[in-house]
Amino acid sequence: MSAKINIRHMEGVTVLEVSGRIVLGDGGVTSRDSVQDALKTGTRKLVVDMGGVNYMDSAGLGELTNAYTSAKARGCDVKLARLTRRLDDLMQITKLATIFDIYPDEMEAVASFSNYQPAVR
Amino acid sequence: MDVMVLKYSDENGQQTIALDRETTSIGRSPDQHIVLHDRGVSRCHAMILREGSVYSVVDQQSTHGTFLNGARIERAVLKPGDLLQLGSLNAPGLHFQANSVSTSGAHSSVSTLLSSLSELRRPVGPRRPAHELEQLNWLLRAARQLNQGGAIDDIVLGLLHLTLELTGLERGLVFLQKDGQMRLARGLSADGTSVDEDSTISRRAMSNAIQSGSQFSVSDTQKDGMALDWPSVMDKGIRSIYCIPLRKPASAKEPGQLLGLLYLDSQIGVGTLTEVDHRLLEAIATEAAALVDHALLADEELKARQAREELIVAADIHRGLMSIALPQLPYAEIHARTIPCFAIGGDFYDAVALDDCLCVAIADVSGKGVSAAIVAATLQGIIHSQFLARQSLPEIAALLNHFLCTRKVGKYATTVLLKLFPNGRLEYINCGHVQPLVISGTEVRSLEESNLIVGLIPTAKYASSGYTLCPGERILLPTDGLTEAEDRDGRVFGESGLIACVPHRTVDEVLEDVLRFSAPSPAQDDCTLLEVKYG
Repeated sequence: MSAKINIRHMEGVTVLEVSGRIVLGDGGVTSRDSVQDALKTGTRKLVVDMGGVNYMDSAGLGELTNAYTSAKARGCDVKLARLTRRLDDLMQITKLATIFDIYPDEMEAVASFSNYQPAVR
Repeated sequence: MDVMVLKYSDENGQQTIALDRETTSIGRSPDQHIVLHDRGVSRCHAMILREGSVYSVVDQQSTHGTFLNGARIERAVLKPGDLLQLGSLNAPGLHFQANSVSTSGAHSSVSTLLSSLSELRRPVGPRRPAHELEQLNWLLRAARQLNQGGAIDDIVLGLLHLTLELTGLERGLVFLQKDGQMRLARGLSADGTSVDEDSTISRRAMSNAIQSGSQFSVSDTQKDGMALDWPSVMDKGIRSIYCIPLRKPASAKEPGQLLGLLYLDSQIGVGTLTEVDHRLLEAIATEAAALVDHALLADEELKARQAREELIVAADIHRGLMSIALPQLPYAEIHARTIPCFAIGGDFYDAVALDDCLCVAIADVSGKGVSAAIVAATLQGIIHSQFLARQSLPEIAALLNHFLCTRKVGKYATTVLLKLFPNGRLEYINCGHVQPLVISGTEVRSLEESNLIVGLIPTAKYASSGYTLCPGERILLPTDGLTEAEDRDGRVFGESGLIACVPHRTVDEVLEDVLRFSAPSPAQDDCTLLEVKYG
């Protein structure tokens, strides 16, 4: 199974909900395209919810980072949310955790953008 | 003796693979002779062995099994007409049969056309058509050329000769479909001289013929109202245009794909050719398409074989680059081993002895196979020369990062670079790589300081760290192929597994432990382990 991406909008923030496997050749390309599509809509606030990603290989990590840096270059702020344990370990080992803004859950990631407070605490 | 073939269809259409080797491997991995992408096919799934004229299929301990005529087998002798399926009974079939790329395909062309000819009387026209014997000669010649892996140009030229003689028309051109466009392959006039495409060739007649979907189309430009608008054609006084689309024979799985088009024209009117001649043209169109299709297949097979041979040469060179004579110093002993998961891979190591220290590198380029190997060889060269130039470790890391970021190859790498001095002082820099382990007796420690991986973030900064080794201590540098190795239940070997197994064990023994853990499946990623023993 390759990656699936669901796009939602919440309080001016675009949320990409990624699930499945991000690997070379299928999911990686999809996630890059989705980020590019989201950027074309002019969004400045992007949350990538990784909670459903059960596997990511090295090429997938490269895609994710490229998507992240190209978004940053266009003035779009990107936050990652809900990394699985394995992905979080990978981010720590590769020190990419120092580059990405990582949040334990999606609401916190969305809230971090502004004064927006979730209705239910 | 006939060479048998395997026929199957994949996303690129009908494939015919000659089983002319002693062993032909089939699997999902790109280094297999026959690469299948279907789900359920293992990386090295099955092997076809040829001993004289006896062929057998042997399952390579595939995960989902090999099926012969519907029954799961480990090993079986193959008979013509047998059906092989890999991974499941719903998988596409591989048909084991006599070689029809060359021999039987051409034979069927000969027999079909001859039977058509025998039914038909000769076409009438101002030019006397060729004698049947000449046509037979031509077809036999074409069949021989196909058997020799004859070039597509020969088939095209033969087709033009035959059709011009059969129809008595003045000019013929064969177009072949390439990159979605009809390109002229060869043009010939009835007197045997070459002709080029010119303004009097009607592209409109061609596209009409292709769109009509029929086997051929004949335009009489003086009767056809539409053709009156084709000034180039009318000016030249061309009265008849014959367009015969060359379509790949349709199969149950796919419609007849357009391969090319035979275009014939003449100043002679259509009326001089009868219904009988049309049936002859129809037969030629079908047979010529089959010949062109076979020739294209043979051409592709040749190109694929050349590509495979190139790859073998590349793999040899790569192995040469990677086989480093490790320096041995009075204060340091180095051992290393790498097991690529394909023929070549993205893991590498290097070691350089300078007069005041030992420099060691291990790296893992993202991805696998050839693309990773090319980048690995380049990075190895950079690191080696920078070590020799006594460059500092952070500067080497920054240089690698800059190189990969600016070259836009879409690759990045994790690496550990270190320098060990005779007094045991260790300087290291870890760029997103698996943590190095220091082994002292039964105690294992990780060197935890790390930096960003190289090749992803152009602005990344790098800093090295220090450690001091005591005599007898070892430093172990693995790649993630070891820590990420999975057993059959999907559990990973992990850093904890590695830490538990390394005390008192050699590089080879540790790698064997990892392979045993992930058995029976072979390594999913390149596995490399390097050890430096101090003192």
